[in-house]
Amino acid sequence: MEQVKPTRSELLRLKVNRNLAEQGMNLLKKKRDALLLEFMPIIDETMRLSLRLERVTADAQYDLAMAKAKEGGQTVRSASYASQGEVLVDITGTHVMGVPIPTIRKGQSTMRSALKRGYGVTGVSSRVDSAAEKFEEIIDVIMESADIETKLRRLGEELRKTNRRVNALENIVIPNLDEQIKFIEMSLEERARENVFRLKKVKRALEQKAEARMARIRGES
Amino acid sequence: MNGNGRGVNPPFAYDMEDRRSSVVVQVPLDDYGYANARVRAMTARLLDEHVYQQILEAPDYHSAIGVLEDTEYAKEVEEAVLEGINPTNIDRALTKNMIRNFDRIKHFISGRPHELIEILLSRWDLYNVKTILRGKRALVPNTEIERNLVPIGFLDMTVLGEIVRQPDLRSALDAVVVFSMEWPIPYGRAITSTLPEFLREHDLSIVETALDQLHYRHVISQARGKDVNSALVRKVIAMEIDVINIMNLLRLCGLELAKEGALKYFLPHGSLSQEEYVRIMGLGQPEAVAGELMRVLPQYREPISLGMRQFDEKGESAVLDELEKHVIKTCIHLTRDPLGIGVIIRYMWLKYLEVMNLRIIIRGKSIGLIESQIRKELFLFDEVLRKSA
Repeated sequence: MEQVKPTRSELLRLKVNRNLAEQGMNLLKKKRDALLLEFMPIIDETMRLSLRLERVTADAQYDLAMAKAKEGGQTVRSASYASQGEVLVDITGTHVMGVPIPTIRKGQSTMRSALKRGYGVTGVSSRVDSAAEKFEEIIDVIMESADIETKLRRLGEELRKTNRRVNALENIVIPNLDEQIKFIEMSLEERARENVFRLKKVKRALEQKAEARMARIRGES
Repeated sequence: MNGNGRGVNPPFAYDMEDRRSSVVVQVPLDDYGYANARVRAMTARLLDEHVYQQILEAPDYHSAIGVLEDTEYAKEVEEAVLEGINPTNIDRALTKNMIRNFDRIKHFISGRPHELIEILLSRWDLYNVKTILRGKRALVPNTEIERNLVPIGFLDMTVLGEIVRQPDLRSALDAVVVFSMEWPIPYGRAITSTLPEFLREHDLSIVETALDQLHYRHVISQARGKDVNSALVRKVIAMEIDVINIMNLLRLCGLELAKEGALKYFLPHGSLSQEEYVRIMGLGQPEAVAGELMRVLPQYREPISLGMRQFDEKGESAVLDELEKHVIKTCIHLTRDPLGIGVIIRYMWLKYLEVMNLRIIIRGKSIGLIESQIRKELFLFDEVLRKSA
């Protein structure tokens, strides 16, 4: 325990601090609960999306492998040279319990028709189309995942930070303050008792002194 | 190579044994007798069921490649392995072997038969021209573009390399326009006619579609002739056109294209007329389109019907698989006339089928598919390979 001055003003200051710490802890606990309420559904959503991403990726890899096998790797590569396009992403922001969270939204769907992929459809087979479609779906799912995973990471970090603060207040700061308050109270009580004892002694001394003076007066008279 | 990009073929072939003994036996190369005898020998060298079985049963991808190293593909596979053991290099090795074999056929035949073979292989010229233009547009390094070319047609690597070495897309387009004036198929005309639109829209698919249409128009006209062999070549090309038109109808029917828009993707000289194509495209739903195609084109009823059964699971690719199987089967069984082009067509499609199946096995092994999964994807394995074995 750090050195504290066992004074009444210090006691008052520590009591104010303790109340503040308790208030802060309660508020942080409420924040933690609210963050948890936001966090739990996101975990479910993230799990769902990662499973979907896994499935879509496996499908896309399979289709690509089969396109390369049936058309020839060179033909697929040639079609890939022709393929062009851009992925537009809108990034805005929002706040959840004061935590800034970026929101990532698709500018436009990455899914394109066979006519928009940059190659002439008459010269490129539907196997290449099918593989391209699956990879476009992967981009779609990745963008959804990026939004939800960023949210998950930010909320997770904030949750951990809040939990650490709650634990610090609950297990270190408040018990320390309690100990200091107890120490000061005990010191003040001790000092008060000493004071009472001293006053009693003074009183007895004064009384003895008064009795002695009375006795001397009576003796003289 | 002569000025128009075609290889010069000697009018006669010399038998090696005879040459050593200084007795020159001149074999006329402008009929199919000699060529077919050689092609039949090449057909006998195609992989048999036993080799397929070994590759399929190989415990992993590396062992499967090991089996290939003891076959016809040894030379190309060994070269590929030096570059690195990956499916892309093995793919290239298999294609190289196919090129080498098709090139051999071209060298022991001349005259009209040679022309017909080049017509059959000219789809690779179209592919090569498009690959160069795509590569140039995407700023792909020249060496990488060259690695993806398949020089089996009338354009050899000298001509293609010259186009590849052009500094940019515009120069490459100009080079095709200039060079193609002497080519059997003047691809430059398609480029010239679509250049203004391409420069306005910056969409290479406009040029590609025009190239496709010009290509098929020209190959059909070049295959004109009253003889049986020309008719067979026309039949094969018409099937290619039919497959493209059928697949385009299935792929594009949901896009609600106007008549002019639909006709942009129509290839003439197949079994479908323009009017039928536009009408069927207007049906809108793949199921309705497939139903109508089966009615209008009864020769494709079976493959379309088989493909549509798997449509929900595999999409249009299921129909394409069945149509390609149908085309390969038809080409393999066209005719076995020893003095006709049928023997060569049969070999070419058997070789194509072999290379495709090997690619399926190698790719399948590389992504960890088990034997039964790979067998499901193989083309005509039971119907053709076992029978021929």
